[in-house]
Amino acid sequence: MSWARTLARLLVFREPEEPRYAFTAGRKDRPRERGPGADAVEDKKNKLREGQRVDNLLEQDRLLSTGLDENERLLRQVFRHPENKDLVLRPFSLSTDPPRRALLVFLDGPTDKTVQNLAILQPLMLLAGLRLDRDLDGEGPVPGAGDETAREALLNRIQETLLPGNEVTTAASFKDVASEVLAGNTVLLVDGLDRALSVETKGWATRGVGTPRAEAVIRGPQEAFTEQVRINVTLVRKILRRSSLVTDFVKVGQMSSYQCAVLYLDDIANPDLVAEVRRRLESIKADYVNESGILEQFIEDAPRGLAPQVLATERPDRVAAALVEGRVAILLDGNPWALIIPATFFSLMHAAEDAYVRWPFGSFARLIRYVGLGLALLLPGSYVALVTYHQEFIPTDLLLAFTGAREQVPFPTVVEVLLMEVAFELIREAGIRIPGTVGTTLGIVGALILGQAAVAANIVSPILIVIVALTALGSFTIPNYPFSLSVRTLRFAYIALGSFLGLFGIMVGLFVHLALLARLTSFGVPFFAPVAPVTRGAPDHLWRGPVWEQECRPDYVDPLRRRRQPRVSRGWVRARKKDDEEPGGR
Amino acid sequence: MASPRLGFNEAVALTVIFLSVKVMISHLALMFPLGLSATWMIPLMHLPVGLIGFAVLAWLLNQFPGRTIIEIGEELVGPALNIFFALVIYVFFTGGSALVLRQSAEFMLTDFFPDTPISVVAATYMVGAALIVYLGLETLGRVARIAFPFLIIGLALLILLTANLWQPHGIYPLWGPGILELSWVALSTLGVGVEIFFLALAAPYLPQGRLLPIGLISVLAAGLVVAAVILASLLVFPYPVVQEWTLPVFAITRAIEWGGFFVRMETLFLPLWVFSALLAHATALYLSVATAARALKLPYHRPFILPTVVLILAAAFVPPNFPAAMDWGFAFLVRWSFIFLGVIVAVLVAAALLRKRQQGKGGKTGRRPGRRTNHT
Repeated sequence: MSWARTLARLLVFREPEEPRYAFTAGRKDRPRERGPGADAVEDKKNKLREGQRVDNLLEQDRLLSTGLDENERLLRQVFRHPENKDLVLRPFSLSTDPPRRALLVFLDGPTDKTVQNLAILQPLMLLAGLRLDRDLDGEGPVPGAGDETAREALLNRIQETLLPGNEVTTAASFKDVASEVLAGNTVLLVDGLDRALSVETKGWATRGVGTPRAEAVIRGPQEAFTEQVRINVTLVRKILRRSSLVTDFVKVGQMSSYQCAVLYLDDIANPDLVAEVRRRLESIKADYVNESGILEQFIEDAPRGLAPQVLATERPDRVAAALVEGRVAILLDGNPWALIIPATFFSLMHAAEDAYVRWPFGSFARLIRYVGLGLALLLPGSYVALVTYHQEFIPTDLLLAFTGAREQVPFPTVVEVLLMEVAFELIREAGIRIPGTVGTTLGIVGALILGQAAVAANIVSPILIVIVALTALGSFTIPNYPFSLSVRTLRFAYIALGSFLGLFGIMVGLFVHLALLARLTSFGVPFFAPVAPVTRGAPDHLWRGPVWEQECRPDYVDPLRRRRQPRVSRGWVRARKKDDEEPGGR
Repeated sequence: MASPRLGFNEAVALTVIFLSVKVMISHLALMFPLGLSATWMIPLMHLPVGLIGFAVLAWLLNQFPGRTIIEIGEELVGPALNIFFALVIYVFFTGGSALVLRQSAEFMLTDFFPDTPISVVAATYMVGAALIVYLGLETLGRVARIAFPFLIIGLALLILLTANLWQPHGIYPLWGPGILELSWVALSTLGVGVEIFFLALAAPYLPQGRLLPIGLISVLAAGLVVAAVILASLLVFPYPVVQEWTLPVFAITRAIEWGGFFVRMETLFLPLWVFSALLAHATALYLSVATAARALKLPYHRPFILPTVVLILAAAFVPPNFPAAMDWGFAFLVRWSFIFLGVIVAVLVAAALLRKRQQGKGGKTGRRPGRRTNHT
C-alpha cells in the first residue's frame, strides 16, 4: 500500500535509489564505461555521424549521378526514409522502347495528387512512347547513358513535350532536389540522366484572402495578406500595376529556409536602400525565421530600441502606397504581415484610412491618435504625480471631488493605479488568449465587473476607473501594434517616475525617452524624420495634407524620382483660356 | 565612427534655446533693478553687438573650415596659450552650468517639491543632460528641434494669457533710468549672449556655408524672445513690483486668470522650465566635454562626461544659498563672461588677421589657413 510505503520511507532511513533515466542527454556526472548504456552512446554517435554525412552531402552540393539506384539510395538517406513516412518514392517506367526506369520523389501532403496524376504520371507512363519515339526518330536512336548530348536531348524532350505542368525546372544536385521536394514540388529522376526535373505541384492547404483584423478601416480596400507569399505578392501587384515593380526572393533561415520576397519599384526606390535590405536579409544566420516579427528583430538597426523601426502591416494597399513613396517591402512566406522599410515615428502613427477620407478628417483622426498616445503614455503617471505631489495645482472643485472619492480608499495612489493598470493588462492579455467570442465577452465583463467591484469594495476610487479607461482607449488608438506594446510597457516607467519625482520626474523621463527615440534610425533614416532632422517632402507626417498637395516623395527615403505629381495636379482648376471651347474651365 | 551632423533647423533651435533659457531663471530678477521700466530694451540693444560679434566669430571659423575654435586656437597662438584658452572655456561653461543648475534646482524645490532634497533634483537634471550628451550632438539637436515648437508655443501662450492683465503704463518712463544709463547697462550685460560660443564648437558639424545664417538667425530670434518675455513681465507687473520676484516669468504664470476653474496655471507651463533647463544643461555640458576632448586631442568626448557632471554638481553647491547663486550667476554669466570669451575671440581674430596679412605679403609660400592638421 502506498501510504504504508510512504510512512516507512519517512520513518526508516534508506539510501536513495539510483535514479534511472531513460534519456541521459547532458548527464556528465559519471564516467563512461562499457555496459548497458554504452550501446546507446555508440548509437548516438553513429546517428550524429550519419547526420553529418548527409549534411555534408547537401552542403557540398553533391551532384546527381546517372545511376537511378544510387540517387534513390542517397535521397532516402537525406530524407531519413523509411523512418520518415512523409517521403514518397514512386518508381515507374517511361513507356519508351525499351522502357526506361524512372522515379518520382515527393512529400505526401503538400503536393497536389491530381496534378501529379494528370500532369506527370499519365503523360510519362502512357504517352512517352508515342511522343519520345516519334520526336527522336529524326535525330537518331534513343539516347543511352554515357552520351552527354543524347542525355541532354532526352531531358529536353521530357521537359518540353511530356510534362504539361506550368513550371518545370531542372535540378542538378541533391541539395536542389531536397529543396524542391520540401517546397511541395514533385521531382522526376530518370535512369541514365544526371539531372532531375522538378514539376510544380504545390497543393498545401491555404487560407483565403480575408479582411484586415488589426488594421480595419471603414473606407478603403478590405483585403488583407494571407500566409502564401505568392498570393501576397499578387495582392500587391493587383494594386500596383507597374512593370518596374520588382519581386526579389531571398531565402532566410538555415534549419528551415523561408522565402522572403523583397518588393520595390526599380525606378523609384533608392538602390542603396534595396541593397542594404538584401544585405541584411542575406546575412541572417539563424535556424528558424518563420515570422515577420522574428525577421524584424534580425534586421532592425537597434533591437534594444524603445520603438519598432520597421512598419508591420497586413494591408496590401498600404504596402503599395509605401512602394510608391520609394520604400521597400518584405513579405515572408507563411506570414500575413509585410514589413515596410524604413519606418519613422510618424509612419507608425499613420493609418491607411487617413488618406482615404477628406484631408481635414484624416488630419483630425491623426490629432486624436496623438492625443491618445499622450494619454496612454502619460495619464496614469501624471495622475499619480498630481495627487501625490502637486495637489495645489488641481482646481479646487476637482480636488474636492478627488479627495471625496479617495476618502475610503486605503491604498496610496500609486498602489491604487498599479493595481488597476495590472488588472487591466491581465484582462487584455486573457481576452487575447481565450478563444473567439468568449475572449471579447471576458474583456467587457471582466473590465465592468472588476472595476465596479473594486470601487464598491473601496479598493480604488471611481476617478481612477476613468483614468484607466482613458489610458486604455488612448493605447487602442495607436494604429501600430508593436508600437502600442512599447507604449503600454513604458507607461509603468512613467508611473514610477511620477510617484518618485512628480511631474518633474515625468518631464525628465519624457526628455530621456525623446532622446533615446531621436537616436534611433530605421535603415539609416532618423526615427523623427522629417521633423528632426528636417527634410523635405509632402505634408503627410504630423497631419495629412490634401491629396493635391502630396507633390513630392519623402526626402529622407532619398528616392530616384522626387516628384510624385506636378505642381498643379488638378488640371481642371487651370484658368480657362479664351480659345478653350471645352467646358470645365473655371 | 561617423561624425555627427547638425542640420540647419536643429542648430538654430538648440542655439535659440541655449541663448534664451536665462529668461526662465533668475537673471531677469537682477536685470529689472538695472533697466527699470526699459529693461525690455536691453536685449534689443544687445542685438547689434551680438550680430556683429557673431559675424566676426563666423569669419574666424570660416577661415578654418572643419575645425572648432580649439583647433583654430592651437594653430594661431600655439599649444601653450591655447590650452589656457581651452581651460578658460571649460571652466566658464562648467561653472556657468553649475550656477544655472543651482538656480533651476532651487526653483523646482521652492515651487514644486518643498520636501525633496535639492541634491536629488540637481542630480536628476544632470542625469538627463548627461544621457543626451552621451548619445551625442546629433541627438541633442534633434531633441531641441522637437521641443522647440512646443517651447515657443508655450511661451507665446504664456504671454498671451496674461493679455488681460497688461497695464501699458508699466513700460513708462520709456527710457527707464535714462538713455545713457540704459546703454551702460546694456554694455555691462553683454555676457547674456556668450552662449553663442556653442556654434564655435559645433561648427564642423553644421551644414557647409550655413554657419553665419544659423548664428544670425539664432541671435535675432533669442533677442526677440527675451525682449518679448521681459516686456510681458513689465506689462503685468510694474517694475517696482517685478523686481521683487526671484523668478519673474514664473510669477506671471501664477498671475494668469482663466475663469474660476483654472486657478493655478503654472503646472501647464512646467514643461517649459524643465525642457529648456535640460536642453541648456545638456548643451553646456556638451560644450565643456567637447572643449576638453578637443584640447586633449581625443576623438571622443564621452570619457569626460562623468567627471564634468561630478564637477558641475559639486560646483552647484558652492554658493551658500539661492540669492548667492543668483548673484554669482549674474556676475559670472552676464557681467564677466563677455570679457573672458571676448578676449579669446579677439586674440584669435587678431592672430588670424596678422597671419593673413603675412601670407599676403609672403605670396603663396606661407601655410594656407583652412588646411587640416594631422590631429583633426
